[in-house]
Amino acid sequence: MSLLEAKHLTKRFAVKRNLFGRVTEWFTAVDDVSFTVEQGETLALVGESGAGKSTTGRMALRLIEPDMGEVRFEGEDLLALDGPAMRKRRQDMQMIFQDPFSSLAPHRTIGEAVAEPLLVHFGMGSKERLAIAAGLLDRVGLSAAVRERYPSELSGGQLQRVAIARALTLEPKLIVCDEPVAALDVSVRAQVLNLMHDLQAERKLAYLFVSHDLALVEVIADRVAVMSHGRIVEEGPSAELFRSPKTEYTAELLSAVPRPVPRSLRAPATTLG
Amino acid sequence: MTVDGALLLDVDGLTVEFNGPNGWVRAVEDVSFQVHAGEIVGLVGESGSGKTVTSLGVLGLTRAQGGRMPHGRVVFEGTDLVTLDDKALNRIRGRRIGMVFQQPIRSLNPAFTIGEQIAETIRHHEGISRSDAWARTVTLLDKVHIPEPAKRARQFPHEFSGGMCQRAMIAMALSCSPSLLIADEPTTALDVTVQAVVLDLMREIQAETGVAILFISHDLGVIADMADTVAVMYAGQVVERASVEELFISPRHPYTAGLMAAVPRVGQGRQLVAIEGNVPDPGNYPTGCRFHNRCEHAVAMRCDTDLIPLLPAGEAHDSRCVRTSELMLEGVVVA
Repeated sequence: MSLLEAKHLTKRFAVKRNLFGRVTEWFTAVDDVSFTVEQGETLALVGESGAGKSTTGRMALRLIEPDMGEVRFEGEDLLALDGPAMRKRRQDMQMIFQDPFSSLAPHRTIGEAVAEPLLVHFGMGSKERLAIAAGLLDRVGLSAAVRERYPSELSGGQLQRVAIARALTLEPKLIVCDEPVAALDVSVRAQVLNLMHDLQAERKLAYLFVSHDLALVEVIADRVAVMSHGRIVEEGPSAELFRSPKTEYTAELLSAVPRPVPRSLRAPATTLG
Repeated sequence: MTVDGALLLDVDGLTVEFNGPNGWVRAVEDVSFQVHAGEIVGLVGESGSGKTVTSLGVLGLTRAQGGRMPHGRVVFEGTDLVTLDDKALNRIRGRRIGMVFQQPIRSLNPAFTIGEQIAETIRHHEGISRSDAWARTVTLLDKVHIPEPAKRARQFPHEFSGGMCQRAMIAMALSCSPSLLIADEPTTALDVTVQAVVLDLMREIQAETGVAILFISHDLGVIADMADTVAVMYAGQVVERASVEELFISPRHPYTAGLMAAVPRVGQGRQLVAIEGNVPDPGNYPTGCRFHNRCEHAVAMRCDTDLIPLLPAGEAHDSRCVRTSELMLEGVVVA
């Protein structure tokens, strides 16, 4: 049984409505998308903007309700769960966003922000909460002084570490990461990805990693699903997919990635496998 | 490309300061580089390294943002732009130096058609008739491969996709046949496939018109793709300067080597090579080498005391590192 199994996910958004509020034009953001994520693995959803990767990631957590399809988490049908049951299930699944600053309340200290899920889910006391938060902040490589600071006082890389610590408080099994390092500088990006990788090995975490950055995905993902216009056009083990892409679209996408090798020194481009 | 053109832009010791709550903060210090006619010079660095401030300094646009330039010369086509007043600068900006920015949609006026805005630029600088300016606009849009240019010229910016907008911006920047184009992260907001097309277009136009380009980017891949020579910036300084081949094969500054190592590479396994620590903010730069507290090669008393000048590190290769001659640094492995 897979940790997460998504089947035939479809989502349409209304583009135009007529005078009576009836929708006259739809945009299909995600069109019949199916995939699985196993415990402890990283599945990357890649594609260009508008391909439907973020919508898919959110539907996997039921942050957006699919119009059609099925999401099973450890075999349980998520879409059939009522409010309280879903809330309980959410402990197992967390999300990290591209911009950590906008996902943290500006008036709350970092320690409080990381401890908050424990209050919401378990009604845990303040002391106990903050102690757990302190341990997690330490684990993601932030010094004790950071606990008393506010989000505006931290750098982007530090904030993304805070977001990771917060995602870990409830000991989830799956984290959906939506472009988690896209806003970070190159030199800091590697730090955050290494941390995410260590945590994955340590806690058997599964990542659904949404990204537009193919060069990055090639290195960090076990499996890759390439999306275009709301559909998965190709899926497979990362190494294989990058070595010999099977669709024209993937090959085109790969060849468009600028490699850090000067033009005059490049080997001829690889062809469709 | 070999650089045999005449010296077009000579930036020498450019220093830019901004007034912050705690007094003047030096955002860019002692930045020097040259652009020759027909050359593409890449300026690469992370956010906050001073790339954009440098380009604004070159254009004399820092004053408008509350900045000042205590030192430095920006000699363009024989004239020091720092000494010019706004009126004189306006005759150069847009005419001799074209500009392309990251967010084309924000640089365009939503209330006017694309064609009107380009024609207006041409008329402003050259004072030619409306119909001549319009004809040239359509030719320009055709040159940047916008399909049905005569029709598209009558459309508004919101009717253009991101890639199309950036093409229109390039057409506008080229409208008065400048000798230098400053492109500040021109493809950062675009999808990879669109980015590839826009980069191809810029290369094509460069070859056709011979315009020199100062290409600013945080992306080493894009810089490797475009530049003939590169200046690497860190914490407001140029830390390394070399030809693109030299730089990527044998970087001589630990920061450059670190940046290259941090780029994910196939076959390296899951552990990426990170540079520890964070990019320092302007005003909080460490003494001595500004990279020393993140550098694995730093040595106490040598790297952390005095300001370090750009030192020769090979033919037409400079590095702001006192240990340049002692270190063996790895570049991008060339297959």
